[in-house]
Amino acid sequence: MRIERELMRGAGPVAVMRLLSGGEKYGYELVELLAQHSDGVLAMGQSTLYPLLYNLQAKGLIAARLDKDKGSRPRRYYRLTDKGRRQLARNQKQWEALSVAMGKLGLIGG
Amino acid sequence: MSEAAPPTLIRQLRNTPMRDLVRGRVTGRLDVKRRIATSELPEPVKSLIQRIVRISRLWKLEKLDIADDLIAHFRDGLESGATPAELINSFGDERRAAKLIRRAKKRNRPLPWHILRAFVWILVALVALYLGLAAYFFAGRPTPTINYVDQLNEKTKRASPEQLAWPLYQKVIAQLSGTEPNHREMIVYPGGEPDLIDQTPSGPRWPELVAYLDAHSDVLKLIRQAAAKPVLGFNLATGDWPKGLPGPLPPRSVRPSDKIPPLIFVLLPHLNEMRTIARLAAADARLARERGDAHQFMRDCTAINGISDQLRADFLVTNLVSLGIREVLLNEVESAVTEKPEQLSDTNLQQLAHRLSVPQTAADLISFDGERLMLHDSIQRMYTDDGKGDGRITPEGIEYLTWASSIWNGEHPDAMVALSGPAALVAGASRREMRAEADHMMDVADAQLNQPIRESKASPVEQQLLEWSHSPTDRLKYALLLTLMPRVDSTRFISDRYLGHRDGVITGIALELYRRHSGRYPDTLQQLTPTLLPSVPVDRITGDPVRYRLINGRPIVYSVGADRDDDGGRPAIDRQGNPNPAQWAQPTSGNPDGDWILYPQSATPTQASTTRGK
Repeated sequence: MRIERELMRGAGPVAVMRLLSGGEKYGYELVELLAQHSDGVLAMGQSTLYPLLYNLQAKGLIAARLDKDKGSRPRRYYRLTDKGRRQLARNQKQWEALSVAMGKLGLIGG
Repeated sequence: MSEAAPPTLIRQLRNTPMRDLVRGRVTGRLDVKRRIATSELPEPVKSLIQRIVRISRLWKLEKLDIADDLIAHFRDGLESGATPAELINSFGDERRAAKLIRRAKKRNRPLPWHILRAFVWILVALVALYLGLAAYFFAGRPTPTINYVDQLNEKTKRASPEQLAWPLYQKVIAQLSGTEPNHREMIVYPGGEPDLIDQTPSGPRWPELVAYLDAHSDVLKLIRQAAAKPVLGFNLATGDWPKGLPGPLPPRSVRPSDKIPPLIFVLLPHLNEMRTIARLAAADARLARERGDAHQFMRDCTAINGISDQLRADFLVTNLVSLGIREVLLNEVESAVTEKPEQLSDTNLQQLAHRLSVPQTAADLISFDGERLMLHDSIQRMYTDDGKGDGRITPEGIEYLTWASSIWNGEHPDAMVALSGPAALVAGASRREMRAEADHMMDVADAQLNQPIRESKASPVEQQLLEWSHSPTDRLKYALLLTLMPRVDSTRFISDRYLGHRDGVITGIALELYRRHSGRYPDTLQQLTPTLLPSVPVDRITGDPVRYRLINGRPIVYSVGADRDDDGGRPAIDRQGNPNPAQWAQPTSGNPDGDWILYPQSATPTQASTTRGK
């Protein structure tokens, strides 16, 4: 199932931050994890992922480092900052509240 | 040349960051194309990355970051078993990716860049706004429709020929101009002596003046006839800017010969002539007094009063000339009462007192009507007219204003108009605002003329003008009013000074009448009321009744002066030793010590020395 752009615009950053809360990850890894953990629902084209990462970086929610030690080629790793962690906590509560509200409306669950 | 081939030195230099060059290293590490070309990725993937990087139009370092991210991404994909085609397909729309990447990367740029960018955009917006305003400004043209010169001439047009004095005055001027000395030469007498026309019986040229007056008795008769007419009848008209007069050339958009003549070009050549004619009548009054001819004296006084009344119209300068002529009359009456009162009958004195007592406030002496019309005329020549009372400033308006305020000496300020004009559209007042503010200011100025100075020491008009002059924005917004508003305070000062002197002379007449009937002067001025005076005049500085005392058996009427302290009729003398009678300032150490002598002013110096001697 493909999520509409407007919904994805709200859910994408939260999903990426949630994945990064478990430790630093590189771009392709994030693409794969998103597809796996959401059964493909949150799978996003790479054309969307990298701008999303750069935006989160501009807001100071994530930070990047270039790792040249692992293997012979450089790879950029992204991690959640303290500010990003706080933002994720807030977003999580909002999503929970939204989920409950949608449930009461009969849009989610039984 | 292949991108994978070793780069030339020039290419390396072009792709080396400044910090590396400063350290003496030619790294060429910003060579994005080479970085992609040497990535060992399949050719279609390299091309995709190359296109995305190119379309993003970012800085070299940013492009390098993107290239590194995408190279790593596709390598990871290939290592995970995906084919190049699958990876390219799953990447999505490359143009959209480049656009989003560009937007996101720019957000990561340093704060100074964002500030500079905002500044540039603001600058561009301002330039665009300025150009738009400039086009709007230069498209504006004033369309004056009201002929204010005609409005001022309306009274003359409505009057019948028999009511007009000017034709008779023209005959007077023609006759006086053709004689020796002519009337213009009579008012210029070198050597520090009074002009011939102002000679008194004790003056060295008095016989010369007597001979002149006797030779021109028919002209004086004509003057008296003219002065009895109810309307002056001088037809106001515009004229060319006098050649050789210092100051800027008149605006090209405003010419005296315009179909709607500009009020600012109205010439007032009659004022000097009328003043001279009044002084001639005053000289004749002095002669009549000398000869004991009360009837002639009264007729001359009536004529001087009539001339003053005829001039009380149009512009402030005309009113001030009218007031000056009233002072001439006042001085003649005062001299008659103090020097040879027995020549005048009770009836004569009563008639003079009644005549002098007509003006009650400055508003009875001065009018700002001409100045109001001048502002209205200026507004219609400076602004466009939307037919609903509003409009915007025009290039002609700016030129007119700069000319009126003489900012540019003799030059047409085209360049300044071009630059300042559009700004004036934003910062300046609209036609409606300017008209409303002009009318409001003139209303306040008119109201001020009905109020004695002591009740409001500083005019709100002057205060407002001062505030505007201190504000850079208001100075531009209300430049017209700052330029053309009449000086209210000095006008009120001149009027109140006259009225104070006038009150003194009327009291002096009443004292003389009392003396005639009682054989002595009264103990207090209250004894003059209500038979000889309706009430004791008010001290114009304090609001209390004026003071009175006898010095050497002669009466003296005075105000306590600026120091508000009764000095027993000793005249105020300033630090330079000059009489400085009428001041309205609050009592401070700077105010001259002494009183303001209201009657008799001509005897003030003698009495001053007498009082000081005591």
